[in-house]
Amino acid sequence: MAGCERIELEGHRLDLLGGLGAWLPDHKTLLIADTHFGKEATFRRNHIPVPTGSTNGTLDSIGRMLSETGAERLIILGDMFHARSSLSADVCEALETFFGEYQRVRMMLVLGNHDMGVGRLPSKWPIEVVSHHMIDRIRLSHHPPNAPPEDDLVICGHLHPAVRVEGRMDSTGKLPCFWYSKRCLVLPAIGEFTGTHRVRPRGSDRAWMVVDENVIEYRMKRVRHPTT
Amino acid sequence: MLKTVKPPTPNQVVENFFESTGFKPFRFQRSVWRAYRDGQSGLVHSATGTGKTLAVWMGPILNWLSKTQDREKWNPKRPPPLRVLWITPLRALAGDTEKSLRAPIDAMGLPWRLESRTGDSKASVKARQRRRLPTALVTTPESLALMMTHENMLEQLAGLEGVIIDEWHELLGTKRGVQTELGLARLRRLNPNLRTWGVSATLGNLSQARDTLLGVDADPDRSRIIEGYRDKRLKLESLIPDKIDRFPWAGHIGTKMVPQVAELLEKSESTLVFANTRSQTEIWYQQLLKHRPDWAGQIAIHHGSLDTSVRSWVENGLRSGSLRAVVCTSSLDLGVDFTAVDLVIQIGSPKGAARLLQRAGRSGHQPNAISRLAFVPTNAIELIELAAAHDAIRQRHLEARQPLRKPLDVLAQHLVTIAIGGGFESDELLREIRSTEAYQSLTDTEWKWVLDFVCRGGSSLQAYPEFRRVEQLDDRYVVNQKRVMTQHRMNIGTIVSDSSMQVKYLKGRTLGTAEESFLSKLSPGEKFLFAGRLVEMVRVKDNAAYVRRSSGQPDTVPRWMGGRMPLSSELSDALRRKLEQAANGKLIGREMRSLRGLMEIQQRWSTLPKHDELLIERIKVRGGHQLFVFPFEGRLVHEGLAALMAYRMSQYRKTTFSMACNDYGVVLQSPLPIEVDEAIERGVFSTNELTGDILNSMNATEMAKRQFRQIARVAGLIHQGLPGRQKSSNHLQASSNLFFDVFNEYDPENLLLDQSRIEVLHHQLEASRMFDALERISHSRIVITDPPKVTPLSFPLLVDKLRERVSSESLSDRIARLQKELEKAASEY
Repeated sequence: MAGCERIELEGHRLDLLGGLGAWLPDHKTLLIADTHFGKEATFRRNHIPVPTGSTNGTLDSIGRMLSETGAERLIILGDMFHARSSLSADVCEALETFFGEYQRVRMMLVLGNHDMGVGRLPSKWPIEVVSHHMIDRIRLSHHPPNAPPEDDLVICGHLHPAVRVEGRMDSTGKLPCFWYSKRCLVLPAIGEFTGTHRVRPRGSDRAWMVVDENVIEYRMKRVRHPTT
Repeated sequence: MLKTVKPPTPNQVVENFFESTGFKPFRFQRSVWRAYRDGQSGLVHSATGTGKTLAVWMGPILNWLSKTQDREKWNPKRPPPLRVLWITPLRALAGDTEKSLRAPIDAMGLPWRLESRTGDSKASVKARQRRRLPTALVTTPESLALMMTHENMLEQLAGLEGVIIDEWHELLGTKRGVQTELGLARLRRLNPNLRTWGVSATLGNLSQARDTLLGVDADPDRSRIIEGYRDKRLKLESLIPDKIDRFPWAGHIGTKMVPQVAELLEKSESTLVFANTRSQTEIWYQQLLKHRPDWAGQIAIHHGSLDTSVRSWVENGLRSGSLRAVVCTSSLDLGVDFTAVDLVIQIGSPKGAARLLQRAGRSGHQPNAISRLAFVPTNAIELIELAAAHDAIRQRHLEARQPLRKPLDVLAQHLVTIAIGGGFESDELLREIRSTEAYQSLTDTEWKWVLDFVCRGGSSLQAYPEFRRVEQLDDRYVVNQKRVMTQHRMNIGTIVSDSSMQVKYLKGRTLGTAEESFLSKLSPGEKFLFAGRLVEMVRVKDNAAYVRRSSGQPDTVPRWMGGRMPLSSELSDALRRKLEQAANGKLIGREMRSLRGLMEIQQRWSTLPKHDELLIERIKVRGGHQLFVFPFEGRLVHEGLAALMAYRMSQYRKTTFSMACNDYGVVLQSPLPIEVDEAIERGVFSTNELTGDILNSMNATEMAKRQFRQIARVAGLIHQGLPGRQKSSNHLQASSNLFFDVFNEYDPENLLLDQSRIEVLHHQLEASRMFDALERISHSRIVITDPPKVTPLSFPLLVDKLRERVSSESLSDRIARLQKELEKAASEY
């Protein structure tokens, strides 16, 4: 059973899930970002051998979160597919199986930069495509914008944030994280075959890292140690 | 006027040339020429600067002369087609090699054309060479592989009479060496009578070095080892500080000795100062300049990460004798004759006797000159090392370089190379590949797997849809797609380069490269030493770090990977014997005598271990218990041993160890007392289940992941950006970690994963040396002492910065502990 951390940001309740999604209990909506479906197919198409399976792995973990939360809506905050060549036969088949299994869930894609290069998705797919979306003064987008004063909060993706925990004699590798900075919550990338980008939370930022499906709040280094 | 002059015989032509240089051919040079004439192959080894180049170069020249005596027919406008290939390990050496090969050609007026072909050659030259290669070509292993991707060059390569591999000892034991073996196998198939000659420094395993070079099909009766000029006179001395402190002096890199070193530099014409890592060269260069500001412009720095223009400026300065000193790393171990250099200084442990010998040979670079080397210890025990190295050299106990066994990443790359260059038929190519020493034991299963990997991506059972690299047409394997060809050709040179990033001034001048992992950790404004200058980070953009000149104190020094070599097993053994001599009260030589006081303290507080003893010292410190163990087996073995001991002990008692290692021993620290007797009884040093315990003990996955970085690049998973297309190929970037995880999850049978584990076991942890060490320990008497204070032997371990931690904590627990530690540290401010 995956972990979960209940937080409140600007008056909105939010569950950060160990499966790398964010759950809005008041809106029965699951948010995820940067699935990069079919990235492995794109690599293969470009003569780089990568096994199949990561798209299914990502879909499985989304499916688990949908079942556990009983979500009525799934919103992907951009970069659903990696590139045009990601829509290979096996990837499309996997997606269609997924759609069939979760017919009760309304699906929405907020366009990301990778999606721009993908072109139109098959019209029979039950997914609404938008450039951004608002839920109760929460703005959903792909890129992290400066939160407009009229909105409470922005939730987005794109950055693939991760943190590293370092002590004097030991340090962890990069751990994917939720990163909250200036009223903007950046979700970790959920795609299995995607990299991470190290962020350095500072000031009043907060971050929650995901370790073995547990969500742990990251405690900030307050004093900078001179490194040698 | 008409007087018929009898044309000189080929031998006379060569003798005349030697006369003009003021030397006479050595006997060994003549032996090589004769062997070459008789169609034999072999390996020539000799001290640096004793005529190895001419020994192998004159063979082909004499041969041609004897076939083409009629000078009337010599027409420089119509040079003979390709006859000789000269492979040099570094492309930076190609220019100099070409120069020294050209001298005899010019002097004899041969109509030969001599050219280089490396990554630095102009595209127009390469295109012309594709049509017609020169008579003799200087090239690198990578460029040879590249030539084999051009089908139309194979015909020219088939005309080769001889191939010469320079500095073979540098390639042996590396993946580039294996790449060379594969290239040679191909050349031999094109011309079964090809002569192969290697040139090498003296090694402990010369016949293995020769066999690897000549392949398994070589006729033993026609495979020679020719020893060159052996006894170049050698003068080794150590700089011994006036007062040997009770303990190895701190400072870690011995910069306390700067004044003495400066004094030595003052007295010599031109000096090479060798340090063991690139970071140390940066620090020493700064310290020397600080001590003697008037030497600005007279001393320089040289290491492998500096820009070519910087390096060649330094090399020219050395050649012309205009530089007083150059602080360098192994980057100046090779090639280039610096006749002006009359002294070599070695800072810190040379790590091996062969290496010390070779470095010393950089000075007095003429057959009859004396090599002078001054050794600067960075701690007291290194003086014992030097004494030990001296013994090892005297007894010719030199290190061996172990050849690599069947790395599948290199093989995968080679298959694509051959598929592009005209294609292959499976059985035929397998025979050729098994004729190399590296792949002689390649199994059918492994062969099938690599073949599948390049054709289908995964094993035949798990083909990857839509993947095509090599295609099968009837019985032939070929590459048809232009993009695969381009990608592959760009990738061939990537066996050496790690993920490095350029360091540039804002105005655009390139200083060199540093590891991405180092640069990406710097914040703007942080200052670091680079290329002998203090610079500060401005920003990282487009895979380059932009810096500007700065002043003040550096915040950090770049670290480059792969800088730390372990002490060789030969030298370790000699070191243990030296200690035993000392234990028996025999202090032979200036170095050992200078340590009398230190040895006495060691004896009094603990003991000096004899050759068949293992010393363990227990010391209680604030906050924990320390266990010092001294196997004297080199750092890599100790790293493995430390982790193994910690792992085995934590199996029966829950505890956490932190540890440090150096070339002499290991320290384990634990909050709880460590019951040594119980640990030994429970088999902490046992060889049972060794491999399994090693793999469990180290964070083996982490290490394998790191090792996988290179494998992924060689096997063509990670591509260098195509020039001018960097942006468009961004969506094909993925880190090797990501590949590793995805393979582990979805194709765990992938043999490249196995390879990374094997490489970790054998090259990173030196598992076989570890096994030998444990065997030795099991026959040793274990001596446990409880010294009142940290002993001279233990002290260097405490200052060594390399620390790792082993525990059975979960990642979440580790994070909790780390975060707590940080909070505590923060509250102390």
